[in-house]
Amino acid sequence: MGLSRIHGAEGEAVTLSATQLYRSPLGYGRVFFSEGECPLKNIKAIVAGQFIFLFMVAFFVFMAVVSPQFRTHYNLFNLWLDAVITGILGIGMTFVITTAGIDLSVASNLVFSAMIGAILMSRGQGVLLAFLVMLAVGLGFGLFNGVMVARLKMVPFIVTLGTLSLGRGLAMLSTRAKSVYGFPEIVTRIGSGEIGFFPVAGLIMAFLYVVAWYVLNRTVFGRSVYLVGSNPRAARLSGIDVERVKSLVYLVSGLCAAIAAFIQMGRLNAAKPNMLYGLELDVVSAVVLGGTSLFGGKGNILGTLWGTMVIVLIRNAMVLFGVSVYYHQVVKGLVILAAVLIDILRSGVLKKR
Amino acid sequence: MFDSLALPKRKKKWTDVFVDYGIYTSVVILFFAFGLFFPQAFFSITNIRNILASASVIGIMAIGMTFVILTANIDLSVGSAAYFAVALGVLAVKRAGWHPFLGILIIVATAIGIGAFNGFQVSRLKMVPLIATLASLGIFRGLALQFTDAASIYGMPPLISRIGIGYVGSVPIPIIMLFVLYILAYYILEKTRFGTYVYAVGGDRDAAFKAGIHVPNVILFVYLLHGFFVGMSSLILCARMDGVVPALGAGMEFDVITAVILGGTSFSGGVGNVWGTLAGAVIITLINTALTILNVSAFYYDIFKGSVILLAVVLDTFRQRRMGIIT
Amino acid sequence: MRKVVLLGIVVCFVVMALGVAAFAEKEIHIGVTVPGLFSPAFVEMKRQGELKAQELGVKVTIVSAENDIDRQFEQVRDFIAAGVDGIVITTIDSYGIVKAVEEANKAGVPVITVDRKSFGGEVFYHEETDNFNAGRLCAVYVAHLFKDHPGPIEIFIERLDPSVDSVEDRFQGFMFEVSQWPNLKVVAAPNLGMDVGKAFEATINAFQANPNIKVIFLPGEPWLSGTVSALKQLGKWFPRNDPNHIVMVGVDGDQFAVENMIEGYYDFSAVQAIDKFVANAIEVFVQYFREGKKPPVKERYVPVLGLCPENFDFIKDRVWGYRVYMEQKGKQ
Repeated sequence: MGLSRIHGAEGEAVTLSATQLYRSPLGYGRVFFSEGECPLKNIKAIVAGQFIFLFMVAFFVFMAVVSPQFRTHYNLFNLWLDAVITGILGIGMTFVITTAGIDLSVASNLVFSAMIGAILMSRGQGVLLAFLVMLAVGLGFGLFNGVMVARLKMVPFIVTLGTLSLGRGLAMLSTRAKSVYGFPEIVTRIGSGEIGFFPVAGLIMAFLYVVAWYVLNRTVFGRSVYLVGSNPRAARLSGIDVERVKSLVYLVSGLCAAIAAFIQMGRLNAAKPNMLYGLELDVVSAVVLGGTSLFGGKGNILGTLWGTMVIVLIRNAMVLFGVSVYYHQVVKGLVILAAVLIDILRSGVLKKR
Repeated sequence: MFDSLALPKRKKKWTDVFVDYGIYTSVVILFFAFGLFFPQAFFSITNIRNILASASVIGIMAIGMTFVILTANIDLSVGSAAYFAVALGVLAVKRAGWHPFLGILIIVATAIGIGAFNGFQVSRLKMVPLIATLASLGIFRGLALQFTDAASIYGMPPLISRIGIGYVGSVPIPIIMLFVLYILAYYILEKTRFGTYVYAVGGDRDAAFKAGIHVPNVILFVYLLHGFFVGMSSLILCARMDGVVPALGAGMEFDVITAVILGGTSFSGGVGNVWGTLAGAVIITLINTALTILNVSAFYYDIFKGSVILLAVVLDTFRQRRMGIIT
Repeated sequence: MRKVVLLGIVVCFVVMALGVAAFAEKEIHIGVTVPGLFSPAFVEMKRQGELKAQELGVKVTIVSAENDIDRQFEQVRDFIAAGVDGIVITTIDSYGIVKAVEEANKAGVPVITVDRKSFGGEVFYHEETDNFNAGRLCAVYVAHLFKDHPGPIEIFIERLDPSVDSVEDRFQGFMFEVSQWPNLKVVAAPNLGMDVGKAFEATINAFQANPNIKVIFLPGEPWLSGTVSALKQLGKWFPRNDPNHIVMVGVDGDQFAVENMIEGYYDFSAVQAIDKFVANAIEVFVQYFREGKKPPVKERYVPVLGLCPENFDFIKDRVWGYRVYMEQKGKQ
């Protein structure tokens, strides 16, 4: 990237080193900024150097050992399928949070796109057309968010809170709160069908994660996302159009919402305006568990994937163990706290002031 | 933040008043805009009184939240904390037969305790407040559901129900509580050393630390104070519901945070004041009131709320931009 | 250091696992999913289900779907994965649950639906009550009360979010009947969202706009207490024999409504006996699993009971809210 020293307006030197070693409270491996690093050497660091990955593996092994029902193909298949919606939304959210923003409207965006697509399909329109319209809706929604945050400089939390309400309201209005049922077979095949042992939607999610990882860590756009989040002034001074990057990430989030909407329709073969209420909080939890910092600049795509898996595993575990319904939220909260706490202890942040 | 020094001077325009005090202007504009549709109902003392009384729950809760956000933290668990506190209080009074005054103490003390729980995690364990309080949201709601077995328990003794529906003269008690607590908060924030610490910690944590402020203690105390305000508004909630219901306080955190942000307090900390928060709470209540009085069809509620929130933030963003808080 | 921490975590988990495994038994396990716990009716349904399971010696897991059809779908699938012997569903959406029922069919797990039908898949047994007619019954009572009045009689309805189907159906039923009576007029029908606590504000605002409201319809009695508090604050809380009395009608028949009716403030409640739905479903399952007996009818329709002061003593024993009310009174 060619940056070495930049002077800020007040005479303070802002240095960007060639490689940045990120040690966030949920520490993970290196993300490298410039040439000279061997990619293969860092795969181990990227994948295994993250606490949340180890936590997920430990949990998984524990469940597999203890619960015979967990080990069944049926359960594992559904586990993967359950992770898809949150996981795909997590991709977009990771991009957004890495620029120090947040998108609380993803669930509403998803539901609104789904309702539009559902209405089109129920009127006999083709699946492809409906999907394209859904993409347009999702992107449009994201564009709205992006313009508000980047151009009008509004606080992302409140803006996306507003669009959250707006999206739900529009979804509710589109069918007068009724659900739409019965979509062409291709939709259900994608949303809940299988290829061999694997769920189609699960494979789509995996593919999207590979693409997202590549974009975030190997393209100029991805690197500028990191920089905009960690040091916007340095980013601007090095020629990055900060506003454009900030609005583009919301477009990414909107795109993810639309894709997830399509899969969601196939999941239940139905779409209802009030579904998935509160999903955005799960997505944010997954992203933060995965190591992405809410202050920006430290995005971790794979971490989001592991974080999603952990959240899905927790729910599965509680159902398989027959835990009282009231304790579900308690346990989920405690596990999240435990994961964050253990990692804080590990990273030694407490030792310094 | 230093960019404001570089901002060239501009001539003061008469519209500056509206932008500078954007949020208060919004309140007035909204009030008149809604009132145009239904003058008799809207432009009356009783209506203004009702709006203020309804705003008291969110308004009082938002006081504490203002302190929290001023220190660049957040608390997503207020709704669950309210439910937990009210649940314990109601259980004590109805199931264990304790004196209602003890019930009041329990509600407030529990809320402060939850504040301590959150504050400890954020200040001592250095957890990210969004996640720590998100976890609390689930934990306390689940615990309270377990303790009450998701029961709806009704029938509060007069000492408690008076708080919600009683009057002093012709002024409802919640309004009195609202103003007393806001004045108290204003005093703490603007007239005490602790208040300056709050602003300092929010504005620049490292500088505050180097200036000798014990940052973790300030943060912890802010959460405790916040818990106190949550407890106060929970009392009103309990009195209004005449007990406890499983859905008590669900989703309240978003309304409270919206009120604070609408009021001009910035998420990055160090900027804001309590009166703006009051205005924000009134705006949110205004919207709800107007929707009912104007008999808006149920389907349009969310769209309406979302649009008004966005409009209010746009106005306030222009104000902040002009003041150089953001570029 | 990291390895030690990791080892510690694994050890903790293993110990927990052994503890859990020690309690695992092989017995009939039934999974139940209910729409939500915001309504005393559902809470009572859950409680009766647990009591019946205890009585019959079976294990029951009751989960709440928080009004989210997707979550209910997940819960059904989780039950299948957990290897339950039977599933009871109080569905949130009759269309949305079809896929879940089909999956259970594929896995060979029998499904009982209660309260709302599933529009697809094979269901072992079904019990339901009629929300639309419950709302209608309330309107019929109101029309009857005011049949000699020229009107317009102003009515205030506290709707929940339109996406909650059961409440919405009751509202539609009420509106359908109201449209047949020219002297009845609905002046305010605000959307309380999902928050029961908004009832207080909504009532105050409704009366602010329409001071002459004569009737309040509650398509669900969970938000009765907020309404009552608001009426008390407004000074409009009059008993039945008072000329200023505001007629209150609602659906559910829960303990608070019963209490207010006994005290002379509440006028009519369309009682739905859903409290025994889950318990009955569990009993049906148990009979089938243990004795191979299938239920004599595939569907059972529980009619709505209209409870009002005139027939209160006559039918109070059939009202579940009355039973709960007496139990709670006995406790104090």
